[in-house]
Amino acid sequence: MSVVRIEDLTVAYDDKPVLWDIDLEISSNSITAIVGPNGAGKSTLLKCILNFVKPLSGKVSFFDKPLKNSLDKIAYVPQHSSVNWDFPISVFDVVLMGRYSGIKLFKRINKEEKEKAMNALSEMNLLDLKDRQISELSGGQKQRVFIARALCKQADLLIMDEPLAGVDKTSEKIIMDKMKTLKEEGKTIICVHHDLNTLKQYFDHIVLINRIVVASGKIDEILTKENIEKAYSEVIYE
Amino acid sequence: MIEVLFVLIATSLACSILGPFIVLRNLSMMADALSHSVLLGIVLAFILVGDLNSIFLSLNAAVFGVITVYFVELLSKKRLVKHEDALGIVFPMFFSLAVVIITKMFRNAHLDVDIVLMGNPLFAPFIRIFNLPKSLVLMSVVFFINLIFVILFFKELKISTFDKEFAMLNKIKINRIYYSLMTLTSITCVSAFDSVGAILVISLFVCPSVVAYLFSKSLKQMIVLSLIFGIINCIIGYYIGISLNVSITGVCSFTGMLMCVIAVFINRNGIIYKVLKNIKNRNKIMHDLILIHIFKHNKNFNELGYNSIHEHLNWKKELSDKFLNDLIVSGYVVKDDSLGIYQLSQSGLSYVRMLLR
Repeated sequence: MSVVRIEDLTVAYDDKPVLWDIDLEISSNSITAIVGPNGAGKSTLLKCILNFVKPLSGKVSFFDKPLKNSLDKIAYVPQHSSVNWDFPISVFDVVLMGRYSGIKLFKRINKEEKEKAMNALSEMNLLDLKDRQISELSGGQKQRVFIARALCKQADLLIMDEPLAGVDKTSEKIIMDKMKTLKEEGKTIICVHHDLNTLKQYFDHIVLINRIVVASGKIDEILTKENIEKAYSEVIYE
Repeated sequence: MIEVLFVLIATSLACSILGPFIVLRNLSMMADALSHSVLLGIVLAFILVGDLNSIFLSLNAAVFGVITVYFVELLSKKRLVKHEDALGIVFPMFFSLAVVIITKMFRNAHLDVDIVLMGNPLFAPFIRIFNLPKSLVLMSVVFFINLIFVILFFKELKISTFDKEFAMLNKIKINRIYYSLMTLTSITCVSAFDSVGAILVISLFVCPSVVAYLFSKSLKQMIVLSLIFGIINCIIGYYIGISLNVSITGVCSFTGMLMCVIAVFINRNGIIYKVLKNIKNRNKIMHDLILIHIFKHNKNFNELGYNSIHEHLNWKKELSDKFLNDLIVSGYVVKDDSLGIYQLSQSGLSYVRMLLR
C-alpha cells in the first residue's frame, strides 16, 4: 500500500514554476529522504501535499483518501522559520498541542493526554526542559520539541522539513534513533534532507528532485553517482 | 466624575483582551490602520442614515475595517509590495477620503475630525442610557463580546497565532479566526472613538499587552496581566490628567508608553536584570576560583596563609577577605588556626570535586 500518492502535481509561485508534473508514491513503513539542490522545490513539495500551498494541477492522496480525511494520521514538523519563537509558551505546552486534534471544543485536557505529552518529552530527552520557554532553547532542542509534538500525536505518517538542519550531534542522534524505532513500529517517515553523506546511514528510500522527480525508489538502487549528478548539475525546465 | 474613569477602564479592558493576539501576530500597525480607516465606514453610513447614534454606523465601520484588512492582504499577497507598505497605502487612502467627505459635506455637523482623532472621555457622562454613561454601557458590551470570543476560541487563537501550518493541519480555519479577530478589533476601535479617539486607542491595544508580554510565561498569564496593566494605566492616566488639568487620553497613552519603557528595563530579560545577573555570576566565579585555589594548593602555607593568600591571587586584601568570609559563612571554607591557613571543609571539598568533574 502506498501511504502517499502524488499524481501530476505542478506548482508555481506567481509566474515562476517550482515543481513540474510530479508523480510519486511513498510506500508504507519506509524512511524516505527527499533530496535535491537549493531551490529544487523540496519544501514546496511538502507544503503542497499538505495543502499549505495550492497546486496548479494534480492530486494527492494519503492512505488512499484525500488529505482532509486523513489529517489525524499525519504529523508534520515544520521548518524552523515558520514558527513564532517569541510566543509566551512553555516546552510542555507546545508538545501538548500535539494532542489537540483529539480534543473537542470546550473540553479540557485530561490527565491521560498530559501523560502522552510527558512520554513524548522523555523520548526526545526534554524532561528537564519542560517548563522552559521555547525562546530559551538551543537550535537542536527546539527541533526536538517540535518532533516531540509530532510524536505525541501518534500519527502513522511523520513528515519533517529538514529536521537535522542546524542541529547538534546529540540531538541528531536522539532524533534519528527515534525514527528507527518508529519505522520498526510500522510507521512511515518522510524527511527533507540535505546531507548527502548521511543518507545511507539513516534512510532506506530516496526521492531525488530538481523541479521534476529525477529518480525515486530504494536507496541502494537510486543513490548512484549518475543520478546525483543529474539532480544537482542542471536546473531543469527553467 | 468617577464615571469617566469607569468609561476609560471599560474601554481599556475591551482593547487589552484582544491586545495580546494583536501584539503576538505583529498586527499593532494593522490595528492602528483599522482605527483610522473605519472612519470612512462611519462617514458613509452617516450619509445614508443621517443619525450619529445609529448602531448602523458602528457596524458599517467594522465592515470597512475588514475591507481594509482584505485589501492589505490582497496587495501583499501579490508580492509587489510588502505588508507594511500595503498598510501605508490602504489606510491613509480610506482615512483621507473620509476626511475629505467630512470637510466637504458636514462642515457644521457634530462629526468632527478633532473628536474622532482625539476623543474626550470627559464628555462621556453627558450622553446617558439606563442612567449610565452610554460609552460605559457600550464598552462593557464590547468587552463582554471580546471576552466570550477569546474564551470560546482560545485554543484556535492560540494555535493559529503560534504556528499557522500546525493549525491548518488540525482543521483550524485560520482565515476565519484572523478575520474574526480583525472584525472585533474594528468594532472595538469604533466603539472607543467617543472616549479615547482613533489615535490613542492603539496605545490601549498595544501598551498593556507589550508590558504583559515582557513578564509572561504563558498566553493565559499574558492576557490576565494585559487586563491588569490596562486598568492600572487608566487609573494613573485619569488621576494625573485630572490633577494637572490636561488631556486624560494624552496622559493615558503617555503612561502606557512609560510603562513599556520601565518594563523593558525590569523584565526577566531586561537591562537591570542582566546587570544584576552579571554581578551575581561574577561573584560566583570569584568564590569558585578561591575554592579551586585552596583545593590545588592544599595545606601550602605560602599560598593559603591568612595574610598571603591575596598576594597569590593578586587581589587587594579586603577583597579576598570579603569573599573568604562569604565562603566561611556558607560553610565551604574553614580557618585552620593551628597552621594559620584556610582549608576546605567537607562540603567545600565535594563542591570543588563537582566543579572540576
